[in-house]
Amino acid sequence: MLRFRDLLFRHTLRVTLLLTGASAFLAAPPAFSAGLPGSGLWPRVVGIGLVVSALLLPKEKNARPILTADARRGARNLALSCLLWTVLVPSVGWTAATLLTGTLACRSGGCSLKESLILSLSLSASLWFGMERLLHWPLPKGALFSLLSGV
Amino acid sequence: MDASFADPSLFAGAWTGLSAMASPELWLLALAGVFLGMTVGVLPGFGPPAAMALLFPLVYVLDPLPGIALLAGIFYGAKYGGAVTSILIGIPGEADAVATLFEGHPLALGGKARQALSVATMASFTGGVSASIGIVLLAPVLSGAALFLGPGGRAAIMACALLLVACTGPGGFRRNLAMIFLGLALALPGMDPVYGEARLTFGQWRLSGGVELTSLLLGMFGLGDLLDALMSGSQNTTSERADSVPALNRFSTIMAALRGSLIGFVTGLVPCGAGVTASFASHALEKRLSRHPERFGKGAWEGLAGPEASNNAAAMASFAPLLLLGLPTNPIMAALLGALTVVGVAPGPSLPNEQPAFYWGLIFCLFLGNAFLLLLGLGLAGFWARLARLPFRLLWPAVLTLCLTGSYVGADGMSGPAQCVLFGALAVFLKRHACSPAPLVLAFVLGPRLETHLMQTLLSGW
Amino acid sequence: MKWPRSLCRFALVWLTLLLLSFAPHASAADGTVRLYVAFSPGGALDVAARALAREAEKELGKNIFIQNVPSGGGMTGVTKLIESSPDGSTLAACVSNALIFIPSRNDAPYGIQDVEPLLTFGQASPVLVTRPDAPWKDMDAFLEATRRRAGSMRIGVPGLGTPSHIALAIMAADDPSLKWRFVPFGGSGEAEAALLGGHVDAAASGALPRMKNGQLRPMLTLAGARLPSLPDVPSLSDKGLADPGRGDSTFLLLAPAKTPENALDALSRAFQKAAESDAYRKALEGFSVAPALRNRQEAKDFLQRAWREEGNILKAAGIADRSAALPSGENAGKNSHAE
Repeated sequence: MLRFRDLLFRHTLRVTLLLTGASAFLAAPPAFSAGLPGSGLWPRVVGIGLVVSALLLPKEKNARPILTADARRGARNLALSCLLWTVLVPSVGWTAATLLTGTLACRSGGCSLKESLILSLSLSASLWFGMERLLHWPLPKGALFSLLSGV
Repeated sequence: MDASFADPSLFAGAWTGLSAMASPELWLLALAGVFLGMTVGVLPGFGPPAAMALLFPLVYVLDPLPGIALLAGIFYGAKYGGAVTSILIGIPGEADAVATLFEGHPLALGGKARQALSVATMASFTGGVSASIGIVLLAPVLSGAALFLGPGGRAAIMACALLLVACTGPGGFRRNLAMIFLGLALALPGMDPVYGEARLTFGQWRLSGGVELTSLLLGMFGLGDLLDALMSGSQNTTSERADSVPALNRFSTIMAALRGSLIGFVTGLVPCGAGVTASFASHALEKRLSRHPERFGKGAWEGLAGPEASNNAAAMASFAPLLLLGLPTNPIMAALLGALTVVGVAPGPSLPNEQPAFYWGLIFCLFLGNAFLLLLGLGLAGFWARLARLPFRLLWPAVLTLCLTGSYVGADGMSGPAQCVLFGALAVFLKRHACSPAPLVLAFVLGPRLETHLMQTLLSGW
Repeated sequence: MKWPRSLCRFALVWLTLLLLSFAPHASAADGTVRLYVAFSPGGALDVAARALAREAEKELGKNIFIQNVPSGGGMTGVTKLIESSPDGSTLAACVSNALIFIPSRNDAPYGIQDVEPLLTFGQASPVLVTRPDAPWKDMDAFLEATRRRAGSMRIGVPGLGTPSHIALAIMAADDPSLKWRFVPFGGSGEAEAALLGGHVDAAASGALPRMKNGQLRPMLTLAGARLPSLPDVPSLSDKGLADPGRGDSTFLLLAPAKTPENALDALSRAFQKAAESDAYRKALEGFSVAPALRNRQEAKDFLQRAWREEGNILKAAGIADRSAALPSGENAGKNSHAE
């Protein structure tokens, strides 16, 4: 008797594909309108194709991979860094977000403080230089900066 | 009107073009273009269109040939830059560079980064030069033939590439087929390429741009690999991986580059997403033809040389329809078409006769640009390779930052990084189920074009 | 306890980094005007906007920096404009399509009240062309051939819902004996290539140089006025038809809605002079763009009128029933507020 999690692992891909195909088919606009092929034709074709190929998938042979504590920590660090960055960019701007997230991510990955600072500073500086100065692509300044500069 | 390639008057124009090459200003600008293109190609999320837009005003100030040579240089310089990031850190700068990372990245991880970069550069050079020779000899004939390839023919080329990838990719045909349809489905949300109507956006107007290609590439390959490496704890040392990397066989690698050049040249003449289509098709073909297909995915040199050569060949070949038909086969050529109109050059079949100095001058600039790329590539290989030897704990925050920033720039907003993270998770999920992301990415890029050609065929005959 | 000391160090590092990150932004250059062009580089709007900006730089005395934002059919560019600070340092150039047709079909959270038009500086005037060796020599012969072939004539258009398609669709809707098959392409370049390859019988094109040197035969300018570079080619008004594509093919220069009046005044005067200059007219020569100039007030009236007429135009072209979110004249206000 399989454990529920293993059962879930076996069928997740098939179910996901089936659901995606079905939603592509159902959420699409009408396939034909005013007598001509419309914008819904292709999504329906793709939806059907996805459903059929999901049904044809071979059985899952691999077992569910077990994650070690190290792996879990690594993934958690990555997820937290991403979250931190997405929260910081609108609030304090791109430069601060990258500096802070880079340093923190480095530290959590096992670098010394000096290494983390050097890496994040050089990365932010080179990217900022390339984007803002060279390519004139404005990086977001963040709400805090606008607040302070408005004063 | 259609001169055959044996026509001597065709080569009379070549002398005019050669004399146009005599100005040092031209050489400097071509070099500057290639260099800027390379820089831009290394920055993920920032494609050549942005750099071209930046330098576009120069077209008004400079003479026609140097101005266009500058812009063209950015185009193939960026291809090289994209290959660098693909090979060294496994982040494809644009869709054309994806096939390079299949073999290039494992090679770099196995300690052969410098060699991999050199092979990639030389393969690019082979592709570029063969395609340029092809343009010189065959372009008038072939462009005419390319015109007769209608929507059905183009769709057929794309479908063939997809089929080839489905048959040869790891994971088996059925899984690859599912990935292809998933890729097609991911390309659905957003504005319809034919009617311009929003569909499958579920009320989110920002999704009217659809799923962003940059986020997909950076998420699936950059973040995906990172997450995978972190979660499986597979941070093997370089020496362990080096054992699994096959040895370089010069002859078969050169043959792979030549085959790739042919594929790239032929597909580059038609608007069918040439760079991506050709590179994926070349990789699949090399795997099919190889006597040791099990080496593919672990660092097969043929699998690196073929896609790089076809990529560059397709880029060079796309100049032929631009100059001889006024048909831009990708957005960068479309920008160049605008630049041509601004400088007063009217593309068309009679361009070689009417403006031989410009036409042949540009062709020679293509050769020149390739030569510059070869020199830059071989010269900088050592420098880039040293960067890649950083330990994993330093490398992964850098990769993370590049992915997040690149997807922000590519999508012009927070939706980019959000999609990037989602696709990273998707990549890990698919990998756990033994599905490869390659067919998905190819299908995603080709999806809108396939749909457009299908609709064109239907609407012509309805 | 070591704990508070390391925490202090942590906080110190973070604060330093935070403050350090403000330095580059604070040192950023001022006195530049940023112009977002809602089109890809090299296209007709892009070249026209760049030519305009070059002339206006001389009048304004400031640097104008151009950034292309081609995604979303122009909506992304307009959104960037609306989200920027309304102090006269950010402008956008877009095709009126991005303000009228496309947002309503895509539920964009902005409306024409969020932008302040400064002027219109051109109208994309595609030309209906055919092969030089085609049996029909002009528009009348083409119409005759269409009637004889009873619905098998194919016209390549750079997309369905584009000005050229709408103009031809209205022509067909008004005359029951005319029936065309419209084949969409990703741009007029592809349409021209399909024409030369024999996959369509006529195409809507903007490649003036090729028309002038005989590679393409122009038959009708799909706009209200004749193009200055093609004086012999009749326009829609010569054929007795109104210019329905006006509303979605006009090039507009926009500022955010709350920009102060003196900034708007200075900018509009500078750009107006730029649009009237010879250098600007010359730049348009290679592209099928008519220099349709309207000053600030006229541009505003034009935009309001186009917004009201939009629904009727699309219905007449027979493509209104594809999209339920289109406003008709009465409930034009429905889609103009953010959710």
